[in-house]
Amino acid sequence: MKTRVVLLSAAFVAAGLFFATFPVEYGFESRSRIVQLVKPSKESNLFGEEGERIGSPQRMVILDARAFMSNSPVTGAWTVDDNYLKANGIYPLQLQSVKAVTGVARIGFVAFILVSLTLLALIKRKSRIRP
Amino acid sequence: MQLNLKFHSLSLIVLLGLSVLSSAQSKKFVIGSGSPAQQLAQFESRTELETFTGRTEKVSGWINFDPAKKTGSGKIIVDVASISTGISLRDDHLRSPGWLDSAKFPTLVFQSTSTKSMGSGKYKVTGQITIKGVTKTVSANATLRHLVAGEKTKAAGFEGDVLQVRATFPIKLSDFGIKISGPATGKVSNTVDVTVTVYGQTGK
Repeated sequence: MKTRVVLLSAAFVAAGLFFATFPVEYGFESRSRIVQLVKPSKESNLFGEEGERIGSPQRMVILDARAFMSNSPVTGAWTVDDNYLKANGIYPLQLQSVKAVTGVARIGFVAFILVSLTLLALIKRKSRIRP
Repeated sequence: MQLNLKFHSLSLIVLLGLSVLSSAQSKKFVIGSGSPAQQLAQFESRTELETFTGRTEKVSGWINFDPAKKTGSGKIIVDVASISTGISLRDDHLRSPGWLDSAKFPTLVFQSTSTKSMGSGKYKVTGQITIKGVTKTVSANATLRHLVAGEKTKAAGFEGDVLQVRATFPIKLSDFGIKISGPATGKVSNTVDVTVTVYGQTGK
């Protein structure tokens, strides 16, 4: 009886955590922006550029407003000062990483729920068979 | 006989003059002779889990460029040990024998073999790239921008004419004997985009 309660409780907790991943992911997504990291340099300025682009545009969560180089997106992406991020030890969180982690967590929770329910069914069946 | 000798001497002078004139139009731009911040070599790996870049400012080499004929050639050398991805543990892996093996192969070298102008400062550059002792032929889309020496170039810290070169090309890590295995599986893509931005200067 005690094992059944523990298994059922664990399955409920896992179900709760499974559903909690959705608002967590949404929370990160709503705060993310398509960002282009730019390394400002006087050499780039010489050729009329604001800096050297680092990688391709990515959806990232950057909460420090001072990191942004412009007040609006430039050609679809917000330019972010890479020198500022480095100087302040900021390693931006990528939305694709958040989605990958929440995706794996969901699979884990579903697997845990299935295992718990299977064990519950087996225990129930065993107790019925027992005279 | 004397007339024939004079004709030959004159031909030689004309040929020498033409060769001097031709080399005078092509300028040699040295890369890596100024501030390290002027150079940047980077690669980008894209997977479902994450996208990351590795980069270094330790880039050297030279480019011969003829602004009038829009032709050129060059060699770019990238220091492998200084490539940084922003995470020190990942950098250590990158430098290890299973990956770029910076102790045994300290540089990544690109040597151009042909350059074709596509107009508007755009070029198709083909050359040989050597990574980890393996040489492969790659084609890069490049942009070349030339500035004649002046107050602006001097203020930016350059000596002489300045050439900005930006080239991008994809490389397959497996082509260079780099296998993605173990914990790196799914975190590093087999094909990475390499972008090199260098500033060459002719000097005084």
